[in-house]
Amino acid sequence: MRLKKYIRDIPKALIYLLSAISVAVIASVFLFIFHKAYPVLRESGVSLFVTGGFDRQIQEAFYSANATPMLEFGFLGLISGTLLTSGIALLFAAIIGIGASTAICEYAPRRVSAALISVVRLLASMPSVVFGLIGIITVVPAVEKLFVTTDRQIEYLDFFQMSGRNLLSASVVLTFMIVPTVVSLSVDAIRAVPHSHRETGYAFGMSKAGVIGKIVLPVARPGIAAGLVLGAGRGIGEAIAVSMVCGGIGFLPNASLGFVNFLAPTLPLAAAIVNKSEALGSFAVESALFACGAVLLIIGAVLSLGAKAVEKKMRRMAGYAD
Amino acid sequence: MDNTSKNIAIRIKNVTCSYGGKPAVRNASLDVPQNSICAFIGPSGCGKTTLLRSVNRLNDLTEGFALSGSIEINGENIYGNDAASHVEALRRNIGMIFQQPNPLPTGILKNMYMPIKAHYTGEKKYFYEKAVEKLKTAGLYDEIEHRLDRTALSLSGGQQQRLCIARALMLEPKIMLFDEPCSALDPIATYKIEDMLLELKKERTMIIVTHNMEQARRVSDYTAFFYQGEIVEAGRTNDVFFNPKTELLDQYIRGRFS
Repeated sequence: MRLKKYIRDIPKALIYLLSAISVAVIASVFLFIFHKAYPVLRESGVSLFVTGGFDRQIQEAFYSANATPMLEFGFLGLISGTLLTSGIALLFAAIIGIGASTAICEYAPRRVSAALISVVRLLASMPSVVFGLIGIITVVPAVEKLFVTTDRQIEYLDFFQMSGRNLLSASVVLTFMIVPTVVSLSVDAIRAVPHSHRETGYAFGMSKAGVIGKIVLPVARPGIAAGLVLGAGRGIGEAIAVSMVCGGIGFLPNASLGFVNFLAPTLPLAAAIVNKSEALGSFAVESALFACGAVLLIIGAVLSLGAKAVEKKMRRMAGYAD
Repeated sequence: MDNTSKNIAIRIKNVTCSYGGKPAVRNASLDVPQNSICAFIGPSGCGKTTLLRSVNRLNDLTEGFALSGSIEINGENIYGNDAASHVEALRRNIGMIFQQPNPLPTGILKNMYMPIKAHYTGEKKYFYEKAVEKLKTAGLYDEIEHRLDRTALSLSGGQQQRLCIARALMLEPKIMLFDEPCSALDPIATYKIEDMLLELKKERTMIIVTHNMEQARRVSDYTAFFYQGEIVEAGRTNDVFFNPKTELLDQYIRGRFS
């Protein structure tokens, strides 16, 4: 009897064990990153989040002796670069993605929409370095041709060296990467809207556009929002593709420059890790880059909690959770 | 049925419907007089719902649907030559209630505003008063007065169906179509809705598809019996139920087949 009971409990125990392992792995990743980042976090304190100057500091850190490491950093330029590239890309991706998924689900003929969806899913799983390559080959030259003139370069030489690798290019490349995620989740959400809801709208004499705008998209909103949140996550964490087109300098946007801010080089946190990883040999640089990772984790956590709160509010407004 | 054609609200003439070539309704003709309730009865898959959904051209949305013959509403053929361009106006003036209560997953009041906001712009106060009035007509207001901004999904099935009826009333339809409105509801909820139908009849023409013989007998003035896509027998409800002319209807009423 007792043996039977043990055997019966084995699967349960295994599941507990595996869950515990996965939790432990995640926890140890966090611990490791924060442990490595600790020297910089301790020395910099709050100024890590409110001052800039990373580009100069990282050089000083590289040349500083390991006995007297240079550990005071300001990540404001990197944080703003992360939030700006992701924010702009998310805005573009929301507009394009929701429009595209509506077209795919509601307007395209069945065959076309099936073909488009498989293309989108393929794009969503494409390695990011390919997007970076496309960025270098097409986006950067295009931005250069459209916006970067010699006059402008000279005019803003005091601020930065203007090239096709800038905030705009980084945001556009990031948009390419986020759109497939947004589209594929939105398509699922729109398809999941029951036919009866659409029929309700038509029975009230609503036009097709009316049914889509007033019924289908609002009902699908939680799913579309989930796509945007995933997209934001990808945007914040994207390193390789962005580092290829961002210009590599953490320029802090300057209100007096207006539109030209978009033509300034930028350096998001994830791209900074890629960009400066060659200098990893130095203790101070290593700690600084792990601090980048730690700040990324913090931003990710804050955004995901924020998204949860927004979702809860939206669902309550839509009348789900009561 | 009554032959005075000026009192006919819905005149169905020689209507044949098919889905992708498969016939669903064959040569159906029927007149529904103003301010009366007509029940469609018959076994499943006999074309009742198809004909019902043809009255507001909702079948147009189904791929492969075709209809010949004519359906006149207040003397106007809704399948006439240029009628397709007026289909949205047509549907706006015909209320439809489905088998499954279908409130949108949003607030009760938002549901009530949905049809009217799709067609009119107006003051919020006006919409609110109208919504309250229609909820009262549906006998729902007293039950949910204090939670009008709660989700419609928090209501019971019967309340949801009454909400759907109240919502349909927001556009003041003179014709209403009910597709088995009570088949998903318990007897008390059913009773409440039947009560409402009798009240609404005073100024509306209604068609109700039902599998419930008792319900057809209780609420309708006229009954049409469908079998395999044809209207086998139609007439005043009392005549149809107590004096069936065909063997088929007699057997159906006795519950020999369903």
